[in-house]
Amino acid sequence: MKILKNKILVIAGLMTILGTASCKKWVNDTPQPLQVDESTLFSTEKGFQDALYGVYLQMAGQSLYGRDLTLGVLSVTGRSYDVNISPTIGNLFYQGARYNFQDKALKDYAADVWSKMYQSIANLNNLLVNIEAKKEMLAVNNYNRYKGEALALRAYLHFDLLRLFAPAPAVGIGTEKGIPYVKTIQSTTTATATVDEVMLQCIADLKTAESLLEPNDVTDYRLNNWAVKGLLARVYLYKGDHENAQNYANAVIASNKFLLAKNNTDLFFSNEGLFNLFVYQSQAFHKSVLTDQVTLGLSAASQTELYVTGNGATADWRKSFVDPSTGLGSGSPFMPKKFYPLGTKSSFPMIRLTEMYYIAAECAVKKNDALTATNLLDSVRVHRNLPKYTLTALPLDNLSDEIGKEYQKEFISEGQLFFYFKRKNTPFSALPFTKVPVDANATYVFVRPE
Amino acid sequence: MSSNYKILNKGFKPVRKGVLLLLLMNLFSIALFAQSTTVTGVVKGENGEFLQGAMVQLVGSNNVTTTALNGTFELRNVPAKATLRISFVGYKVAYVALEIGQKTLIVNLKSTTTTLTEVTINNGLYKRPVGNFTGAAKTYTGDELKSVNPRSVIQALAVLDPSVRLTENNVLGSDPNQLPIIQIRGQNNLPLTTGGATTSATPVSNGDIMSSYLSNPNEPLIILDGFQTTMQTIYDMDINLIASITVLKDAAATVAYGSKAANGVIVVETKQPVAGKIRATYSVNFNIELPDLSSYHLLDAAGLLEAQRLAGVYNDENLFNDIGKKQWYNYRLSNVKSGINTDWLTQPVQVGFGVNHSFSLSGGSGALRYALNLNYNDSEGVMKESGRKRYGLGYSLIYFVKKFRFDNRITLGYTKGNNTPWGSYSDYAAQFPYFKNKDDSGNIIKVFEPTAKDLGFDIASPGGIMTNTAYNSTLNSKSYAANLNIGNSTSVEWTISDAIQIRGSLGWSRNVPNSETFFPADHTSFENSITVFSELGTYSQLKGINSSIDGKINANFNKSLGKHTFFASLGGSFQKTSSVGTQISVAGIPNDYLDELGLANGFGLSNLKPSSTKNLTKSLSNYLSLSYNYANRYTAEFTINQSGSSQFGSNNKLAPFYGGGVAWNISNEKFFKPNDIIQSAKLRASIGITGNQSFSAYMSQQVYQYSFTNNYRLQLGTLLGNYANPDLKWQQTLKKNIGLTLGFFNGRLNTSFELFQETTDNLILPLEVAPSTGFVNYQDNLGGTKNQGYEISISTPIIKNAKKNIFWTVGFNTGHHTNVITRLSPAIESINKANNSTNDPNISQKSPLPRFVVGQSMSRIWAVPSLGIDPASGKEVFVKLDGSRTFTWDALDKQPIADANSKFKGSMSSNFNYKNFVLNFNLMFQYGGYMYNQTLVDKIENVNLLAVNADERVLTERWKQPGDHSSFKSLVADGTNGLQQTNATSRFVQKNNFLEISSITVGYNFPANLKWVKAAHLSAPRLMVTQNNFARLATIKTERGTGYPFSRSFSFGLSTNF
Repeated sequence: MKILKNKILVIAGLMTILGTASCKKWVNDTPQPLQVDESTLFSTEKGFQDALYGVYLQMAGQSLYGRDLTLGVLSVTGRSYDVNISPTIGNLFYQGARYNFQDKALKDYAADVWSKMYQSIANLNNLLVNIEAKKEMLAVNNYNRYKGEALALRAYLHFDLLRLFAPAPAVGIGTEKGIPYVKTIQSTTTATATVDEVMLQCIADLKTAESLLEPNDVTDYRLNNWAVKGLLARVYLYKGDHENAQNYANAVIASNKFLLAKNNTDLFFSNEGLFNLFVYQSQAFHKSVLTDQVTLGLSAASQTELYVTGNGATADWRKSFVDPSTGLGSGSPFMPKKFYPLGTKSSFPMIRLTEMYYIAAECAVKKNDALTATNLLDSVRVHRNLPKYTLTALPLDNLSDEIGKEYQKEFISEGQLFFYFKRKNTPFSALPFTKVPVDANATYVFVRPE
Repeated sequence: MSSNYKILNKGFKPVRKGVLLLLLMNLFSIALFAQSTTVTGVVKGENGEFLQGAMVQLVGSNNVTTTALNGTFELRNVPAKATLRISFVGYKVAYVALEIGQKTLIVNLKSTTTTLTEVTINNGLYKRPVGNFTGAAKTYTGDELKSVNPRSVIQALAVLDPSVRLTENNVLGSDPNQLPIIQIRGQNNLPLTTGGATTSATPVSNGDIMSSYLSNPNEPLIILDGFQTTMQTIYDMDINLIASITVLKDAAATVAYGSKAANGVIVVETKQPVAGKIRATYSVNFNIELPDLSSYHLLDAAGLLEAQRLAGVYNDENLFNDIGKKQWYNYRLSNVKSGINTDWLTQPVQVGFGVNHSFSLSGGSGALRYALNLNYNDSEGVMKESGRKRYGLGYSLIYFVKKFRFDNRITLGYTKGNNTPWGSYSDYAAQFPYFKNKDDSGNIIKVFEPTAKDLGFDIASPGGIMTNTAYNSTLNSKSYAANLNIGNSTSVEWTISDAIQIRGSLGWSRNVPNSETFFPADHTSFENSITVFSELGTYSQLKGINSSIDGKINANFNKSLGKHTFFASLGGSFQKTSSVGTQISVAGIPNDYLDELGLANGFGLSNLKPSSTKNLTKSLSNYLSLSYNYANRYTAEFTINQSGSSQFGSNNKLAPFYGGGVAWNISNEKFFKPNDIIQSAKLRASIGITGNQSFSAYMSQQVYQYSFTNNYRLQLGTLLGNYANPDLKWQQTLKKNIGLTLGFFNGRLNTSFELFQETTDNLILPLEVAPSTGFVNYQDNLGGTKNQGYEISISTPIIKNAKKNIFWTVGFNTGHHTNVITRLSPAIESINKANNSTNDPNISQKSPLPRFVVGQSMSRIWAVPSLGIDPASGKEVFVKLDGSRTFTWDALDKQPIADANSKFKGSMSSNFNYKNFVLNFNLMFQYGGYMYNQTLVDKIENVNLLAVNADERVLTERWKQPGDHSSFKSLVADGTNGLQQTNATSRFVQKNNFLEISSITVGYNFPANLKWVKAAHLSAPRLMVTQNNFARLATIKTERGTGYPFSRSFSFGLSTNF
């Protein structure tokens, strides 16, 4: 009987052990095929890479940089087109041209951008959590690269959210309501930070990224060290910190890692891109704005006004960005040719070297250094098949105008012009190519959904 | 898995040694105890009935035998002056000391309880005598269920038990391929999947445990011989194999199942092999199904044409069109006059013949018992060529060695359900009776009318080109779902002593579902479609493999010390289910004889790619259950369970559940004086927390999704789509139950009352979050519901005359429960809001849409209050929320009109036995529930006379001219375009009281002394005739079985032993 009791005790003991220790492991260890469970994904280094590409892929979607934050909505508001702006193109573009952000189509669009960008941010935050958790597993250089890239992307997205959904620092004192700067993955809402705070957070993330990313890696389709520096220059300029903006812009220019184009065989000037986003569906997106459903474009008159009059010239390579005669085949004659460079490149410039020249020039102007500013602009002009300015140093007032004009010529249909006008707080009456009048309630701030 | 089998295989070697040892020992004992003898005897029950399967044991030895069918036994090697122990479940153990030289004996066992027929409760994990059980549970024997409905145990269960509710599917009617949807004691979940969409009405499980739950989150846990199974398995099982079904309802009864117990548990036990000479049992059941079309009252050819004329189908403001339409009217009128009046309702229906052959062999003696079951079932439905075929094979083996009992069962089953090629029945109810079905040479017509050009008319026919769905029956098409099932379960029971048993079991099952549909290009569904020519004809195929592995180990202990009786049970189990399914749909099959998937032209524009599903769940459950009884008066029970599941959030992988109960046997108290009125009284109360895990495994896991449609410079990217809530918990249901069992007039009236309340907290619902979190919503435990109600059952053996062999028992049961939503998440408000929009083209307001409001029942019918039809204008007058009157229907004016839940629902039964005759009948009734009469809306008011036939009342009862006091709005063609369409209005909320004669059974047991019985070596041959759904009286007149008609069925069953 005693043996029996012992047997029972052993069995009961075994069952208790089963019931606690191995239970959890048994039920935890459940892979879900087709979709990949977090723990499976991050069990290899490739998983980290895939998760990063997942974010890039989402950024390349239609409502983000694949179309509407570049050649779509933001180029309509950025006045890159003056042809066919009529109610027939739909409220998204038409009301966009009118800066009527209260319109339902634009409100829905803004909500879509907001949720997609923040979904990408949540993905980056989850990736960052896993990078730290699996630090041991990752090779040192990969740990640095994944973490640096994730932080840089997080800053990139937050900075653009700030530029879309909060007033520019130029119009306020920096304590206006900004956006939530989300650094953790959680179900509770992160409090909205002020415009200044968001920019400081962006800078902090970018500086960490800069220290992590390898300067010799100049892979242009990912956010590399030089793109981060360029982004820092962009953020500092937006913030009004011209000293730092100039330093970072000059650092990129002086690095000689990226060189200005010497010919016009590639109208995208792809090699000037510090960061080019790969857009798998780019052709379809281009067509949907410029050929198929909607036929936006720039008229021949506006083309001449932009590229030839003033200090321009017909020889400017950029004039053929807009080519009435050789736009792609049967499409609109106004098709910006820059989107169909030789071959079909599917990458889209997000930060370009020329922007560094313009940032450096703008900062020089702020310091009343007309000579440096003029030299910087001339450097670009030479590489765009234009003669240098006749004066070695343009008057300061003229310089500001010239920089603005250069932005228009250089970044047409890239979406950056909206941010330029916003940063400068350009009066709506002073916007170029105003074919439709702006709405009475026009503003540079998109309506945030929450 | 494989390691477990190895252990078992290894286990067999010592067993073989044991057999040898046993044989040797037997030889020795014969040699040593030369004076030992063989004792024979008979074991009887209280009323003198022979007890089969009683255990006769020589005390202090392993010398055991069991009684045969006629209660006889033979025990060898019995020494002189020995004591025999005779035991049988439900009876008190008897000890008989043999006198010297005594070789025969007759033992009468006394039943442990006098008034209750159920003596032990088997909850699938452990057995416990009723005296030590405090829960609410009810057991039905297989024969009892079979006599109510020989074709469907689930339907029989719904008739017998007031807590089991079968959801009647008015669309699919008596479709044999439709699985029943049941719930025990009401629904604890909102009728929506946690994704937000409403649940589908057709649960398809194919042996996949998880998807079976997902399709009906209120489905009770189903346990077959100790292992979890699916509704489909029970539905397709041979009813002759079922020994008993136990319905476990309250916490004390179910809590050992932990996180799966909240919806109640149905425990199915199959018959065990019986020891003795080899015995063959054969039963056959023929049944006839007759379509029940009595709920249809459609217009005939002349009536329809007249209704169409009155409705203005043949009028037009444009004179040219008017002339054209008149041409069509005259054309159709000439058809009517020529005598065409097709009865479309009878075209696709048939009398369905069904047969069920069930054959079993069982036998064995001493250490080995075995059984073999074969089953063939072919049930034809009432729609032509629809039916379900089932083949079953089962083999079980029980082997005793010393204190061990090995049990192995293998089952193999194949089911194939064919859907009718005739299409949906609603197409026939809609067809115009002035169309001919067949042309003069007897071929089914595909397109009914010649074109306007052929007839020389000016315009196309009103209603467009109309095709005959019946034409499809002439084509070679396919639509079926088949399932192959293989299962094996092995268990080992070790009886250490009378007091302690340990049992381990391992089950494995694999289901291979396969379903195909094929519609050739000539199928009428492509007639008016805009599909391009190369894509006409579709073929789709679904194949999968679902498997589950279950393992259990239980230890049971029981001890009686004087007045104290103690039971304990400890157990643990694991379960792993996996399911894989691949679906391929292709398009472009020109000819009906090219009936192979691979002959298609391509995927087609609507399919593009194959799709797959894959699911894996793992769960664990451990329990400890204690029960104590003092002096047969006081009982206390307590059970704890720890459940773990891969479905729970990472912070909550293991869940505790607990419950307990007390019972007081008042009639055993000293103060309870023997009297003529009440003989027994027992009061029970239980409380406990159980769980529900019928939610998708993905909700609690952070899942990345790869994108294949886009790439990033030929690299793949993956994205996190949902926020997995690491805190997600199982749903908890707090169950409370009070039960009272009373026995009056010396067993002449037995009653039991149950009062229950089930409170579900932390129901899993979506919560919308700020999009800056990166997600739209996530799942959290946010909702709550409360069900409470009562159940009464009364059974009175009016005549109980064993001498004359007359028995007559009448039973009555009824129940009611209310349902209230106690907590909701804000996300539900968006569903309510969508359901309340008047102009959203995606939301049809033609029937009442659900609205979920805290404090209201889930089954509440919301509609706009109506004052009826204005006699002056023929328009409906509505009452707005502020009490004012209006002609305009506005969704925001909806109010809770009535509750679909009945005040009480129950059944009455009568079982009469006279000598060899049996006469049983069952009635079902419901009172106090309401229903929206959709037939009146769809077939009278919203009927589109251009395209479909209408109810007779379109002509007789609709408003025609000012002054008419009618209950229906004025008649107009295409009600959706002409006058306002009729939206959810209180006018059509009607009382849903009914009385149904659900079964009548007449049976005859042939006496064993008949000549032909003897000559054929038969024993206990029995004939049973059952009629199901004999008649139905209802206050609400609706078309029943709109997509597939309901049926009335007759069954003729014959069973016999050889």
